[in-house]
Amino acid sequence: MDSLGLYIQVPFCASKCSFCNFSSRVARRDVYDRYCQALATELERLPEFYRASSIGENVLEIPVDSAYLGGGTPSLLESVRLEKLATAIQQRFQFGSKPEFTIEVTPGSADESFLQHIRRLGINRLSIGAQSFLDRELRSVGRLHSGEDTRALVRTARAQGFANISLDLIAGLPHQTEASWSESVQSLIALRPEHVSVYLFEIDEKSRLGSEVLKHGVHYHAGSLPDEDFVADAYDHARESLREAGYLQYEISNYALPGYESRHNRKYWQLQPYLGLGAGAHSCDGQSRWENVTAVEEYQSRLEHGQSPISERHRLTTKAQVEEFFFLGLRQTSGVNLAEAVDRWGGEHIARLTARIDSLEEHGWLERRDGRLCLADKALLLSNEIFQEFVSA
Amino acid sequence: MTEARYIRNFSIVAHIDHGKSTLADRLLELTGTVAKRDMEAQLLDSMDLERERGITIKAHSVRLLYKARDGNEYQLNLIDTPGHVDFSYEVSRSLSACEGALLVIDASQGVEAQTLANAQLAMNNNLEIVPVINKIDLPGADVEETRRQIEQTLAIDSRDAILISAKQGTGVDEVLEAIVAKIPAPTGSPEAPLQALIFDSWFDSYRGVVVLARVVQGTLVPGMKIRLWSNNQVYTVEQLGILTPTAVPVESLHAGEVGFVIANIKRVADTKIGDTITQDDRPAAEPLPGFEDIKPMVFAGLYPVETSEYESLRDALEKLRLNDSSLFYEPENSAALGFGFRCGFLGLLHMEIVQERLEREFKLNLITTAPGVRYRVTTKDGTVHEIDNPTRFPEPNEIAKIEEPVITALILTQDDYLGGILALAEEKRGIQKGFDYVGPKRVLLTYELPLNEVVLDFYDRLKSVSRGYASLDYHFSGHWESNLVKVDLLVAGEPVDALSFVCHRDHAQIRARSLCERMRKLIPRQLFEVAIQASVGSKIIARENVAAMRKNVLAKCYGGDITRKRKLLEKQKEGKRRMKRVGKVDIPQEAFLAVLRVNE
Repeated sequence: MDSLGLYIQVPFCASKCSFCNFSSRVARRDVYDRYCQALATELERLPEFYRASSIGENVLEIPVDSAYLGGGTPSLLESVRLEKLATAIQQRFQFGSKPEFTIEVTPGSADESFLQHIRRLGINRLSIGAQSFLDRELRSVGRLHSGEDTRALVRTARAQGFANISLDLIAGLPHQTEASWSESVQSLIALRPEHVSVYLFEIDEKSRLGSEVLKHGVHYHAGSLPDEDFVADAYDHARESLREAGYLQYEISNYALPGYESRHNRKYWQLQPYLGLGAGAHSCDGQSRWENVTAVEEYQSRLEHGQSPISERHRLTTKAQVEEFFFLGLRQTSGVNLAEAVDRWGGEHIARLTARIDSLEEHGWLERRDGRLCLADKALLLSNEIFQEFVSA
Repeated sequence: MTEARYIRNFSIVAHIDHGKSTLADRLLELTGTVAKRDMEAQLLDSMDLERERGITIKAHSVRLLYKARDGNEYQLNLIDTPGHVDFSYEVSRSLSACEGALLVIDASQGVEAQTLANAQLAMNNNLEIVPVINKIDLPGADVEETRRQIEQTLAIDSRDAILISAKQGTGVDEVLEAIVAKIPAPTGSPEAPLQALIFDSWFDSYRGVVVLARVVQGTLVPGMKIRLWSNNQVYTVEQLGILTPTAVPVESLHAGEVGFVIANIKRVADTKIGDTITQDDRPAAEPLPGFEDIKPMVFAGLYPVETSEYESLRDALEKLRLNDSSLFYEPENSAALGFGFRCGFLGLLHMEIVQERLEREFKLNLITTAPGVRYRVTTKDGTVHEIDNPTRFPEPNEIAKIEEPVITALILTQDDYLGGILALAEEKRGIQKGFDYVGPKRVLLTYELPLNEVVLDFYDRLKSVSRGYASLDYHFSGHWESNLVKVDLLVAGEPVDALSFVCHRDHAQIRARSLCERMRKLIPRQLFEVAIQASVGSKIIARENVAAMRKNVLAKCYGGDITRKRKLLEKQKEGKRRMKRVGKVDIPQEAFLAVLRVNE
């Protein structure tokens, strides 16, 4: 085992966006203190919680090369709380020499002094949820910021010395048009972030907008949602524009200037160990996956009563590991190395899949590049269809 | 033994909701047959479904004892009749067990199509008709207009019509007196060779088949060897009884009486409605007139949504058939829907009832294919085929002619709605046989209409063009030759058998287009473009495309929640497994459901 990723979940937002299908909520500030206290307790007592859930404590000794404060809106915790949190993490874990330390920031929620402060804590990467640069689109999904707020945040961050900034865009939001999408993509490129994520709005019952769409309603601008073909075209357009601007696509929805691929993200696709702290956070040590209880109240109360917040843990069978190897690994443009899989799990587990892989290659969904198996370009947007071939149901 | 002159056998007939069951309840109450506190509203409708729908599905009978004003006690046998056009054969047989009928007409609605059809049936059976004008307490009641309609539409003397409010009980005693005074007593001799008319039967799990019969002549006694005329089966009478409405055993049933017969009969199908019971060693010279073997008129495929429920569906149909010999079914196999049954019904209501009972009483989840009729197809080699399943149609070039079943429909309406109704009848290929003003604003239309158009959506459309004011009744009246074609629906070149349908050549393209359009919206996008076509023989008459899928991707990572990704992939895969595969296209079951359910 080489290195460890840490994820700290901050499940609070100043307001809930209509497209959000994450677990986050709007809370009063006094809740933040209680939550941070619970996080501190969790950090402190990790070894005993792991023992209780039969999770190897040795994972705690692996040097950390990536930490990620995600949410929610972690910047809501403000500098003082974040400082305590960062200190506690740095005490608990052994950090490598040049860790990637990311915080998600919502435009308008972070000023100059905040950025200055967190920079001093060792946070060296900002992930900014721009989502769109058109105020009408931002307003329609309940974002509290404008396109200009995003530009201002990037300018301030640069002035404070942040040299690794990531910006997110979402395709498929209400009122989006070909022209407005192109404008958002161009505005983003003009800011020259080191890293870009292009997400596609997912229609599911977990978000208010998604569930409205599913029941054919009109609230949350559901009636102005662009269709599947638009979203697919938008994806292709962004891909093309980013490529022309010098960005390399390294994963289905992620792009970076050379050398700025997100270390943290890659851990997910490469079955490397990562630990999640906080309500609803997910962890994986390569052998098992586990998660904390999602409800903030229950998470806090368990820790206040000395109980473990781990709600579910399951061991990954070899078969499950092989399946993950494919349906996660193939998300990366570099694909997967079949020889590596054979080394790790033995030939028979891979042989079982050979016929399926051959058939997918034959139909042009998979292809070989530099000896590795990769998704063909036309399969990127249809990847779930391909991945289904690798899971048993 | 009650002398025949103190017996009256009668039915109550009416248009739906004109108050037939309420009047029956009052009669039971007033004669003390059922104490008021035991009255459950509308006692004779015993099946839950009957009570809910307000329609009598099975016939019943009940004996009332009535002390008339002349001082004599009379035995009144009320023979209740099914209240829907699907069951008109049963209605006619029940009526032939009576000497008279109370014709109940709602004073606020007047004469409706079913009033007319029932009155005609009663007249054909030579019944004495006693008009009863009901609901006179309603603010909208118009007694004089109702009288006028009775005279003009039904040609029945309305001067003696009895004015009642069955709900409030007003005038009901006059009804009882009129039954005694106007309806003739039965005439058959108790000594003559036995002739008894079967007008209903049901299966009782302890006693076997229970037959309701009217003894026309002769006498039934326990131990007698009886023979059923239609199939020559011989049985020994085990028990006789009457319904009051609870079952009471009796020692004999004489000419003129009505009661039940238990004779160790195993199958309801052996006791055909309208059949004659005679004595095996002293048979009557001839059977009672009017017997017909009833045939199903409307056909549809019934399929379990879950393939694993096929066996349960078969058991359930078997159980229903125990009590419903007019239900027909045979196994059928559809490439699209799997294993199921081709079922035949007396009509649309009968179909709905069976469907509902299967779903409600047997907890089955069903897909029903579009209802159709039985065509008579003559191929070029001169063979005549009776075909009730479109998939069995011969190729177009082998067909010499196709004949389709035709009904005669009676439509009574306010003339305000004539325009819409005439246009509808025309669209449905109807031929006008009669157009009669039966009042200043009331028109009686008589049409011959192909049954396949009627089962499609005629009744719903009629209701909507007349805002519910037109009433309809119909009876089967033969076949006519017609220019019909079978339309197949193809998905990616493969025919979807469950969606084939038969229609007139002139309608084929419009219906095919509409079906293709609906299917396009219901078939999920696949990895390749899917053509949806409709064809007549090898000729494509409509086409739609489902564009290839563009996007099925999970972009976001949710803080390393890989389990969520896996679950979604598994769910999608499982969803595909549950779809029906036609060729290489996955079609969700809901698509079939939606296409089959939606009315154009």
